[in-house]
Amino acid sequence: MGVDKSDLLQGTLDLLILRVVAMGPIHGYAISKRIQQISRDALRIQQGSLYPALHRLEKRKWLGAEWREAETGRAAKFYSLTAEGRKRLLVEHSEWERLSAAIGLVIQATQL
Amino acid sequence: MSWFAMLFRLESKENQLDSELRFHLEEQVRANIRHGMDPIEARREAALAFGGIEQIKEECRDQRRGIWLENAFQNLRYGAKTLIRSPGFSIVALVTLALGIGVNATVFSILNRIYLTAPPFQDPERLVTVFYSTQQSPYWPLSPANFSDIRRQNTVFEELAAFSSSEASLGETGKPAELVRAIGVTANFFPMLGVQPARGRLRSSRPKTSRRQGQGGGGGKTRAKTTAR
Repeated sequence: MGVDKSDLLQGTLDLLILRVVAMGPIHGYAISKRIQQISRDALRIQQGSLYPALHRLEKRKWLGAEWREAETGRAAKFYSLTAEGRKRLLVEHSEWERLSAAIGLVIQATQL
Repeated sequence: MSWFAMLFRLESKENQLDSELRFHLEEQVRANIRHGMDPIEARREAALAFGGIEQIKEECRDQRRGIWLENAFQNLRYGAKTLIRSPGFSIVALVTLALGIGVNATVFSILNRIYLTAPPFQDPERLVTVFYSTQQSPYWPLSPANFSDIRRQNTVFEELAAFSSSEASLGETGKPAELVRAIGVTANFFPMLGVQPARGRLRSSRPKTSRRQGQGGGGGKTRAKTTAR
Protein backbone atom coordinates (compact mmCIF):
# COMPACT_ATOMS: atom_id res chain seq x y z
CA MET A 1 0.00 0.00 0.00
CA GLY A 2 1.56 3.22 -1.13
CA VAL A 3 1.60 6.18 1.20
CA ASP A 4 3.60 9.20 0.13
CA LYS A 5 4.87 12.02 2.30
CA SER A 6 2.06 14.47 1.59
CA ASP A 7 -0.58 11.83 2.35
CA LEU A 8 1.13 11.07 5.66
CA LEU A 9 1.26 14.69 6.69
CA GLN A 10 -2.28 15.35 5.51
CA GLY A 11 -3.62 12.31 7.33
CA THR A 12 -1.84 13.28 10.52
CA LEU A 13 -3.08 16.85 10.38
CA ASP A 14 -6.62 15.63 9.74
CA LEU A 15 -6.34 13.37 12.76
CA LEU A 16 -5.19 16.21 14.99
CA ILE A 17 -7.95 18.53 13.81
CA LEU A 18 -10.69 15.93 14.09
CA ARG A 19 -9.53 14.97 17.57
CA VAL A 20 -9.56 18.57 18.77
CA VAL A 21 -12.94 19.37 17.20
CA ALA A 22 -14.36 16.21 18.78
CA MET A 23 -14.10 18.02 22.11
CA GLY A 24 -16.71 20.54 21.01
CA PRO A 25 -17.46 23.33 18.51
CA ILE A 26 -14.37 25.45 18.06
CA HIS A 27 -12.98 28.08 15.67
CA GLY A 28 -9.74 27.89 13.69
CA TYR A 29 -7.64 30.09 15.95
CA ALA A 30 -8.63 28.12 19.03
CA ILE A 31 -7.84 24.85 17.22
CA SER A 32 -4.26 25.91 16.53
CA LYS A 33 -3.86 27.21 20.09
CA ARG A 34 -5.33 24.03 21.58
CA ILE A 35 -3.00 21.77 19.59
CA GLN A 36 -0.05 23.91 20.60
CA GLN A 37 -1.11 23.82 24.23
CA ILE A 38 -1.86 20.10 24.48
CA SER A 39 1.36 19.15 22.69
CA ARG A 40 3.25 21.41 25.08
CA ASP A 41 4.34 23.72 22.30
CA ALA A 42 5.78 20.88 20.24
CA LEU A 43 3.19 21.10 17.49
CA ARG A 44 2.58 24.46 15.88
CA ILE A 45 0.22 24.34 12.92
CA GLN A 46 0.72 27.08 10.38
CA GLN A 47 -2.35 28.93 9.15
CA GLY A 48 -1.27 28.00 5.65
CA SER A 49 -1.79 24.34 6.54
CA LEU A 50 -4.62 24.66 9.01
CA TYR A 51 -7.23 26.51 7.00
CA PRO A 52 -6.92 24.55 3.75
CA ALA A 53 -7.26 21.40 5.89
CA LEU A 54 -10.32 22.79 7.69
CA HIS A 55 -11.96 23.64 4.39
CA ARG A 56 -11.13 20.25 2.94
CA LEU A 57 -12.60 18.48 5.95
CA GLU A 58 -15.68 20.67 5.76
CA LYS A 59 -16.15 19.94 2.07
CA ARG A 60 -15.86 16.23 2.81
CA LYS A 61 -18.67 16.67 5.32
CA TRP A 62 -16.53 15.39 8.21
CA LEU A 63 -16.76 18.83 9.77
CA GLY A 64 -19.80 21.05 9.95
CA ALA A 65 -19.45 24.81 10.24
CA GLU A 66 -21.52 27.60 11.76
CA TRP A 67 -20.94 31.29 12.29
CA ARG A 68 -21.30 32.22 15.93
CA GLU A 69 -20.35 34.92 18.35
CA ALA A 70 -16.89 34.20 19.71
CA GLU A 71 -15.77 34.87 23.31
CA THR A 72 -14.34 38.17 22.17
CA GLY A 73 -17.73 39.29 20.87
CA ARG A 74 -16.85 39.13 17.20
CA ALA A 75 -18.22 36.69 14.66
CA ALA A 76 -16.23 33.54 14.04
CA LYS A 77 -16.69 30.34 12.07
CA PHE A 78 -17.10 27.44 14.48
CA TYR A 79 -16.36 23.89 13.32
CA SER A 80 -17.97 20.79 14.77
CA LEU A 81 -17.69 17.07 14.15
CA THR A 82 -20.37 15.40 12.04
CA ALA A 83 -21.44 11.78 12.43
CA GLU A 84 -19.35 10.96 9.36
CA GLY A 85 -16.51 12.88 10.94
CA ARG A 86 -16.71 10.80 14.08
CA LYS A 87 -16.38 7.62 12.03
CA ARG A 88 -13.50 9.12 10.12
CA LEU A 89 -11.74 10.01 13.38
CA LEU A 90 -11.82 6.35 14.42
CA VAL A 91 -10.44 5.31 11.02
CA GLU A 92 -7.65 7.90 11.12
CA HIS A 93 -6.81 6.92 14.67
CA SER A 94 -6.38 3.25 13.83
CA GLU A 95 -4.41 4.16 10.70
CA TRP A 96 -2.13 6.25 12.85
CA GLU A 97 -1.60 3.40 15.33
CA ARG A 98 -0.80 1.05 12.47
CA LEU A 99 1.62 3.52 10.96
CA SER A 100 3.51 4.32 14.15
CA ALA A 101 3.77 0.59 14.91
CA ALA A 102 5.25 0.07 11.45
CA ILE A 103 7.69 2.93 11.87
CA GLY A 104 8.63 1.57 15.28
CA LEU A 105 9.45 -1.80 13.72
CA VAL A 106 11.73 -0.24 11.14
CA ILE A 107 13.54 1.86 13.71
CA GLN A 108 14.09 -1.12 15.99
CA ALA A 109 15.25 -3.25 13.08
CA THR A 110 17.94 -0.80 12.02
CA GLN A 111 19.26 -0.74 15.55
CA LEU A 112 19.95 -4.44 15.48
CA MET B 1 -29.80 30.11 14.80
CA SER B 2 -28.02 33.16 16.14
CA TRP B 3 -28.27 36.40 14.21
CA PHE B 4 -24.61 36.04 13.42
CA ALA B 5 -25.27 32.81 11.60
CA MET B 6 -28.07 34.38 9.61
CA LEU B 7 -25.98 37.38 8.72
CA PHE B 8 -23.11 35.30 7.49
CA ARG B 9 -25.25 32.99 5.49
CA LEU B 10 -25.98 35.95 3.27
CA GLU B 11 -22.31 36.73 2.87
CA SER B 12 -20.67 35.20 -0.13
CA LYS B 13 -18.31 32.28 0.33
CA GLU B 14 -15.49 34.64 -0.56
CA ASN B 15 -16.34 37.15 2.15
CA GLN B 16 -16.74 34.32 4.64
CA LEU B 17 -13.29 32.99 3.86
CA ASP B 18 -11.82 36.46 4.22
CA SER B 19 -13.61 37.09 7.52
CA GLU B 20 -12.53 33.75 8.88
CA LEU B 21 -8.85 34.37 8.21
CA ARG B 22 -8.97 37.94 9.44
CA PHE B 23 -10.57 36.82 12.67
CA HIS B 24 -7.60 34.52 13.26
CA LEU B 25 -5.21 37.36 12.55
CA GLU B 26 -6.97 39.70 14.94
CA GLU B 27 -6.95 37.09 17.69
CA GLN B 28 -3.23 36.64 17.20
CA VAL B 29 -2.73 40.40 17.45
CA ARG B 30 -4.70 40.46 20.70
CA ALA B 31 -2.64 37.59 22.08
CA ASN B 32 0.56 39.40 21.18
CA ILE B 33 -0.63 42.55 22.93
CA ARG B 34 -1.52 40.50 26.00
CA HIS B 35 2.04 39.18 25.97
CA GLY B 36 3.35 42.69 26.22
CA MET B 37 4.02 43.75 22.64
CA ASP B 38 2.96 47.22 21.62
CA PRO B 39 0.06 47.31 19.14
CA ILE B 40 2.12 48.09 16.05
CA GLU B 41 4.68 45.41 16.83
CA ALA B 42 1.89 43.00 17.69
CA ARG B 43 0.22 43.49 14.34
CA ARG B 44 3.44 43.23 12.42
CA GLU B 45 4.48 40.04 14.15
CA ALA B 46 1.06 38.49 13.69
CA ALA B 47 0.98 39.36 9.99
CA LEU B 48 4.45 37.87 9.51
CA ALA B 49 3.53 34.67 11.30
CA PHE B 50 0.34 34.43 9.32
CA GLY B 51 1.95 34.39 5.91
CA GLY B 52 0.28 35.43 2.67
CA ILE B 53 -3.43 35.71 3.30
CA GLU B 54 -4.26 35.59 -0.40
CA GLN B 55 -2.22 32.45 -0.91
CA ILE B 56 -3.95 30.76 1.98
CA LYS B 57 -7.31 31.72 0.54
CA GLU B 58 -6.31 30.30 -2.84
CA GLU B 59 -5.17 27.10 -1.19
CA CYS B 60 -8.51 26.80 0.62
CA ARG B 61 -10.37 27.28 -2.65
CA ASP B 62 -8.20 24.65 -4.31
CA GLN B 63 -8.95 22.17 -1.57
CA ARG B 64 -12.67 22.71 -1.92
CA ARG B 65 -12.53 22.39 -5.70
CA GLY B 66 -10.43 19.27 -5.42
CA ILE B 67 -13.00 17.55 -3.26
CA TRP B 68 -15.81 18.70 -5.52
CA LEU B 69 -14.05 17.11 -8.50
CA GLU B 70 -13.42 13.93 -6.58
CA ASN B 71 -17.11 13.69 -5.70
CA ALA B 72 -18.10 14.36 -9.29
CA PHE B 73 -15.88 11.57 -10.58
CA GLN B 74 -17.12 9.18 -7.94
CA ASN B 75 -20.68 9.93 -8.93
CA LEU B 76 -19.86 9.38 -12.59
CA ARG B 77 -18.21 6.04 -11.87
CA TYR B 78 -21.12 4.94 -9.75
CA GLY B 79 -23.55 6.01 -12.44
CA ALA B 80 -21.60 4.11 -15.08
CA LYS B 81 -21.54 0.95 -12.96
CA THR B 82 -25.28 1.15 -12.40
CA LEU B 83 -25.92 1.54 -16.11
CA ILE B 84 -23.67 -1.38 -17.00
CA ARG B 85 -25.52 -3.57 -14.54
CA SER B 86 -28.81 -3.11 -16.40
CA PRO B 87 -27.81 -3.03 -20.07
CA GLY B 88 -31.37 -3.30 -21.41
CA PHE B 89 -32.47 -0.14 -19.65
CA SER B 90 -29.27 1.65 -20.57
CA ILE B 91 -29.65 0.87 -24.27
CA VAL B 92 -33.24 2.07 -24.33
CA ALA B 93 -32.27 5.26 -22.49
CA LEU B 94 -29.33 5.90 -24.80
CA VAL B 95 -31.36 5.35 -27.97
CA THR B 96 -34.11 7.64 -26.67
CA LEU B 97 -31.56 10.33 -25.85
CA ALA B 98 -29.86 9.95 -29.20
CA LEU B 99 -33.13 10.23 -31.09
CA GLY B 100 -34.25 13.19 -29.03
CA ILE B 101 -30.99 15.04 -29.43
CA GLY B 102 -30.81 14.20 -33.11
CA VAL B 103 -34.31 15.47 -33.79
CA ASN B 104 -33.69 18.62 -31.80
CA ALA B 105 -30.43 19.33 -33.57
CA THR B 106 -32.03 18.85 -36.98
CA VAL B 107 -35.04 21.03 -36.24
CA PHE B 108 -32.85 23.70 -34.76
CA SER B 109 -30.46 23.77 -37.67
CA ILE B 110 -33.34 24.09 -40.09
CA LEU B 111 -34.98 26.89 -38.14
CA ASN B 112 -31.62 28.47 -37.65
CA ARG B 113 -31.12 28.68 -41.39
CA ILE B 114 -34.60 29.94 -42.05
CA TYR B 115 -35.31 32.29 -39.19
CA LEU B 116 -32.33 33.02 -37.08
CA THR B 117 -29.48 33.70 -39.47
CA ALA B 118 -29.65 36.59 -41.82
CA PRO B 119 -30.12 35.67 -45.47
CA PRO B 120 -26.92 35.97 -47.42
CA PHE B 121 -28.06 39.07 -49.25
CA GLN B 122 -27.19 42.68 -48.93
CA ASP B 123 -29.47 44.51 -46.48
CA PRO B 124 -31.94 41.68 -45.93
CA GLU B 125 -34.14 43.90 -43.73
CA ARG B 126 -34.90 46.05 -46.74
CA LEU B 127 -35.99 43.12 -48.86
CA VAL B 128 -39.70 42.44 -49.31
CA THR B 129 -41.77 40.11 -51.41
CA VAL B 130 -44.51 41.80 -53.39
CA PHE B 131 -47.52 39.90 -54.67
CA TYR B 132 -49.89 40.88 -57.39
CA SER B 133 -53.32 40.45 -55.88
CA THR B 134 -56.62 40.37 -57.67
CA GLN B 135 -60.16 39.58 -56.73
CA GLN B 136 -59.60 35.95 -57.68
CA SER B 137 -56.46 35.48 -55.61
CA PRO B 138 -54.02 37.44 -53.50
CA TYR B 139 -51.17 35.65 -55.27
CA TRP B 140 -52.15 36.12 -58.89
CA PRO B 141 -49.49 35.21 -61.43
CA LEU B 142 -47.70 38.19 -62.87
CA SER B 143 -47.15 38.47 -66.60
CA PRO B 144 -43.83 39.80 -67.86
CA ALA B 145 -45.47 42.75 -69.54
CA ASN B 146 -47.30 43.75 -66.38
CA PHE B 147 -44.11 43.40 -64.42
CA SER B 148 -42.32 45.77 -66.80
CA ASP B 149 -45.05 48.34 -66.40
CA ILE B 150 -45.10 48.07 -62.64
CA ARG B 151 -41.36 48.37 -62.51
CA ARG B 152 -41.27 51.38 -64.73
CA GLN B 153 -44.00 53.19 -62.87
CA ASN B 154 -42.86 52.24 -59.38
CA THR B 155 -42.10 55.03 -56.97
CA VAL B 156 -42.02 53.00 -53.77
CA PHE B 157 -39.17 50.55 -54.15
CA GLU B 158 -35.56 51.11 -54.97
CA GLU B 159 -35.58 48.16 -57.33
CA LEU B 160 -37.99 45.47 -58.41
CA ALA B 161 -36.99 42.03 -59.63
CA ALA B 162 -39.22 39.11 -60.51
CA PHE B 163 -38.79 35.37 -60.20
CA SER B 164 -40.73 32.30 -61.15
CA SER B 165 -40.50 28.54 -60.79
CA SER B 166 -38.94 26.80 -63.65
CA GLU B 167 -37.14 23.65 -64.65
CA ALA B 168 -33.72 23.11 -66.03
CA SER B 169 -31.91 20.19 -67.45
CA LEU B 170 -28.35 19.89 -66.30
CA GLY B 171 -25.98 17.79 -68.27
CA GLU B 172 -22.35 16.91 -68.11
CA THR B 173 -20.60 15.42 -71.09
CA GLY B 174 -20.75 11.68 -70.85
CA LYS B 175 -23.57 11.61 -68.31
CA PRO B 176 -27.30 11.61 -68.84
CA ALA B 177 -28.99 14.96 -68.30
CA GLU B 178 -30.77 15.60 -65.02
CA LEU B 179 -33.95 17.52 -64.64
CA VAL B 180 -33.67 19.94 -61.77
CA ARG B 181 -35.89 22.57 -60.26
CA ALA B 182 -34.81 26.07 -61.06
CA ILE B 183 -35.91 29.62 -60.44
CA GLY B 184 -36.09 31.97 -63.35
CA VAL B 185 -35.19 35.52 -62.42
CA THR B 186 -35.05 38.89 -64.07
CA ALA B 187 -31.69 40.27 -65.08
CA ASN B 188 -31.50 42.65 -62.13
CA PHE B 189 -32.17 39.94 -59.55
CA PHE B 190 -28.60 39.11 -58.57
CA PRO B 191 -27.29 42.66 -58.67
CA MET B 192 -30.25 43.77 -56.56
CA LEU B 193 -29.45 41.19 -53.92
CA GLY B 194 -25.78 42.00 -54.14
CA VAL B 195 -24.73 38.40 -54.68
CA GLN B 196 -22.57 36.68 -57.21
CA PRO B 197 -23.45 33.39 -58.88
CA ALA B 198 -21.78 30.33 -57.44
CA ARG B 199 -20.48 29.39 -60.88
CA GLY B 200 -19.99 31.43 -63.96
CA ARG B 201 -20.70 35.10 -64.50
CA LEU B 202 -23.76 37.23 -64.90
CA ARG B 203 -24.59 38.58 -68.28
CA SER B 204 -24.50 42.32 -68.34
CA SER B 205 -28.04 43.26 -67.55
CA ARG B 206 -30.68 45.08 -69.42
CA PRO B 207 -34.05 45.50 -67.76
CA LYS B 208 -35.92 42.85 -69.68
CA THR B 209 -37.33 39.56 -68.57
CA SER B 210 -34.77 36.90 -69.35
CA ARG B 211 -33.53 33.79 -67.71
CA ARG B 212 -30.27 33.76 -65.82
CA GLN B 213 -27.97 30.84 -65.81
CA GLY B 214 -24.36 30.23 -65.11
CA GLN B 215 -22.31 30.47 -68.24
CA GLY B 216 -19.65 27.92 -68.83
CA GLY B 217 -18.60 26.01 -65.81
CA GLY B 218 -16.22 25.81 -62.94
CA GLY B 219 -14.70 22.37 -63.12
CA GLY B 220 -16.18 20.20 -65.81
CA LYS B 221 -18.19 21.23 -68.77
CA THR B 222 -21.57 22.10 -67.45
CA ARG B 223 -24.28 23.33 -69.71
CA ALA B 224 -27.66 24.38 -68.57
CA LYS B 225 -30.74 24.61 -70.74
CA THR B 226 -33.85 26.12 -69.36
CA THR B 227 -37.44 25.96 -70.30
CA ALA B 228 -39.48 29.06 -69.68
CA ARG B 229 -42.92 28.76 -68.24
